[in-house]
Amino acid sequence: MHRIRKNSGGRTHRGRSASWPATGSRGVSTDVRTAPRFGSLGANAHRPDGTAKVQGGFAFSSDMWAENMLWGATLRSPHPHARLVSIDASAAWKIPGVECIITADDVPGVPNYGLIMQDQPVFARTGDTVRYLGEPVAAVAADHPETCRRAMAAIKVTYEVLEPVTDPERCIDGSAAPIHPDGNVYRHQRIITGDQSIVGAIQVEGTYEIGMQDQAFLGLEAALAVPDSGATGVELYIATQWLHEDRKQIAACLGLPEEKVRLVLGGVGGAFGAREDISLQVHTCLLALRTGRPVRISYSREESFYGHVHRHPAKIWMRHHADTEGRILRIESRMVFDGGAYCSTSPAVLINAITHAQGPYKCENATVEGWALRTNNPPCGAMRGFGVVQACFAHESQMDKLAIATGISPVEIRLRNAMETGDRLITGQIMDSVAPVARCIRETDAIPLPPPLAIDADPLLVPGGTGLTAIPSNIRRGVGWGVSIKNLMYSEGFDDFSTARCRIANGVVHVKFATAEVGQGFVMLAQQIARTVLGVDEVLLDTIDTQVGSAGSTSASRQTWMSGGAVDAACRAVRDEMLDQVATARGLARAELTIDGTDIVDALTGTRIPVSDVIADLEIDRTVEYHHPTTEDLDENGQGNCHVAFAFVAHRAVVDVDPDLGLVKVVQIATAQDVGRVLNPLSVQGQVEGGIAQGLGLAVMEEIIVTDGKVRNPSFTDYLLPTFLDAPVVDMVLIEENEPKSPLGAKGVGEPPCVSVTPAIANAIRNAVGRELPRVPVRPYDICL
Amino acid sequence: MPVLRPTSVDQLLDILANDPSASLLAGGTDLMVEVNLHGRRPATVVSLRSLDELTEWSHRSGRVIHSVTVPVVEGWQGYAKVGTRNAMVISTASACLVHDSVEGLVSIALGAVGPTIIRATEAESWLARNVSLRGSLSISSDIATEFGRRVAAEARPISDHRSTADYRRHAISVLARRLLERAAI
Repeated sequence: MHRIRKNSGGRTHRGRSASWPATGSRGVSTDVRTAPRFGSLGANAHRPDGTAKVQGGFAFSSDMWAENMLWGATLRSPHPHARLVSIDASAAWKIPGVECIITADDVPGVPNYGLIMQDQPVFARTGDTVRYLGEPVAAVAADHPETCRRAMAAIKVTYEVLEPVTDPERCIDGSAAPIHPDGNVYRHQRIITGDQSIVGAIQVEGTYEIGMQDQAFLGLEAALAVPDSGATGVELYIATQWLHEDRKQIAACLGLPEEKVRLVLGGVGGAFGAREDISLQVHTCLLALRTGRPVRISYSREESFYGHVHRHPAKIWMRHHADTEGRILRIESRMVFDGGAYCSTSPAVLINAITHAQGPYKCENATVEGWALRTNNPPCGAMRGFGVVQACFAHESQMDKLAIATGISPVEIRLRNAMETGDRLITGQIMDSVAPVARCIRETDAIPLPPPLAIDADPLLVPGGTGLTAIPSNIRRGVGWGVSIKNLMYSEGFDDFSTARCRIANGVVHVKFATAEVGQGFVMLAQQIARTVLGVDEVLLDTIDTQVGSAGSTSASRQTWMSGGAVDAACRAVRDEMLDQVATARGLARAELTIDGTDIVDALTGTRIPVSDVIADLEIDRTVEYHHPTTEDLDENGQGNCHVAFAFVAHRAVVDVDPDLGLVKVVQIATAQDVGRVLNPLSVQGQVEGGIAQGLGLAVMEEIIVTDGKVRNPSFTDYLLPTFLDAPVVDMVLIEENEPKSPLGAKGVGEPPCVSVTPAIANAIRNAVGRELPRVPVRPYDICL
Repeated sequence: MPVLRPTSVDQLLDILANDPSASLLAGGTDLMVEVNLHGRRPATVVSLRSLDELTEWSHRSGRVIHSVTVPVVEGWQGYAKVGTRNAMVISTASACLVHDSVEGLVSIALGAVGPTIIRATEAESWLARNVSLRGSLSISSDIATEFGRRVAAEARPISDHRSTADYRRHAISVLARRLLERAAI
């Protein structure tokens, strides 16, 4: 389906996705002289879980089952804000098949959980309030899902409905009373740097809005809890992003020591940030410990919309000051992020947003103020891009306004301001990552534009698609740009280390880690690393669970760098020991031994010894932690070395727009991405195309619509995801400039593709129809009314 | 919950006479969604799978409409549907236009802009008074625009989470204009 061509310089990969209908050549061509060994780093290695997933044989968490298992279900608040007066479960207990009903009174440990603030109750407490529609009130375990449904219908919950706080501005001006003992402000942070009095000859400003996007992973939340005999501990099979953080929070709520709570990764069908927070973990474990039987909870699609956090809706005002040559002199911004009812990662999302306000551009003077606030809207937290998506929509909208105001092209204005390694950021941090911003822009600009919409074009490829609303003469074409900077790993002093264990036993290499495989392909990368470092073909992966140290979260574009670094270090430690033993046993000079392909080579004699011959007699076991360089908190003026590293990408969107109906078809996305080093071309291509599809969704269709605290579209009927017909052709260039700080030279590639594609598409629509369009998703009526 | 499987229309009518609340099941695209997602629990289900006499049906108060005859019309016919995605989307406005070149009629029906399908009969009459509709159509840009405006005036759209009343009415005006222009090509 995909064609990847490695160019002669070996510094970039170029690829093109399948278009619809399929055109162009198919299959993979690689240069056999430079092709990496099959399955090693740099090769299009095959994923160990790939065949099963494609054929439908892969067991996702919702497929799990245990002998004597009960089904669990969660009763939720129908109100966004209400006092919980009473819960009467007596009628539900009498229903045959009901084995357990639990409420806040049944939580034996700490009553609350949370990633940053422990402000979210396991269940809402009688006498306290429910703070969002869908907040858990009780949970049931029964012999059948239908029994659970009847039991929940029989639980009488009395609420005293309260007025919901839904406008975050009311939390800033103080007109809304606190809806939680911790108050309505999760974080307020300024960035003040440089000359605050500079006024540019050119000024552009705007107020931008970003809607609430859902991660919309396809594998719904599911968990299976199996109690130890005597119910003194529990084993939880769970689809999550971070096993050890889950365990910490679960054990605290259960009142158990962490060693009594063992987590095993269940099959994960996507995450995108929505599995960082606790959802059904504590409920499932509690029901299992209470009943002494295995319990499984699986959410429906509707419940999933209530069961996990979403991308923060945000309102961002921004003003750019520039000279007449278009050089940015100063930025001002005010950012308001609606965090919803509970904290989740709101403070960290806000810090990402304000520290990325300048975009991938030089800027010495800045005045930025950001707020993350508590309301009775659905809780918001991590989603791919983590605050930078919102900031980027604002600064890239501004860059196009600046281009228009100065009469400079969108490409040139971005090139003139492009950040470079060594630049000082608005936080005072020096950019010490490889920063090929200008190269990303130039490489993207060099990708050919698609041909104009043909007068006899396939009607399905015209905006409106299968609705057959337009003919090509109704359509206008637009081109737009978006360029972004995205931090990698956790920030502000967080030591999100990763652990890996490598051992040779009985002639086989085993690798173990707790890295959540959520679909990104780390299970494949770990094997590639081990094959490359140790010179073996076969690598067995142990179960992903908490029987090894933490790997940190599968988020923040960090696992290739962090867990890749840990696996690499563990394998190198084993290799060093292996070569030591080989040198001693065979009387060879240790310093002369290296691994080439699948052989140990003695540089003195040229002797080659197959690794497979050597490892049959070895027993080596090494566990290594990989830590990234330390970072700092921001001070009161937003100054500090708060981020570990950065990656960059440019996007150019070509769109066809029906200006009368406001319908859009994204024709092509051209992109050049700074990836450090390509460890698996096919895998990077998948991340780029997937991220672009998700960013396209935010640009033109994906939004959770909330009115008075109530979600209006909790289904895939009305929460619209791009279909294959909405997906554009993607022409990509992967820019390889080895990142010296990264253990494998590679940068994370997961988040950048979805950051700047959204403003690129919005700018292209603006280019086509000449409207400001300050909000995404751009709705049809924004374009044509 | 009994599941009944009549093998003739007579049997089916008997069942419905005895139990007017019975739910008919043919494919389950509506009924099973109700059962699975909205907790509906029908007292009796009547499966139509064994009923070869029926291919399309509609059930209203003990009667079964098993077929509808539609005359073949000479002239252009077309349908267009507006949704916020390029495929697989519930319409926010739709329109179907039929030109009967023998009888000299243009009919237009509107979807998603009223409680049910709406015919824009006043706009149809206005068009018939102002344009010769027999044989091939010749439609000026002004006529098409005015037709669209008049059709939209007969729509009764609402605002909901899928769109706004203003947009739906506007979209109908565009669809009606474009469909009429296509009929004249």
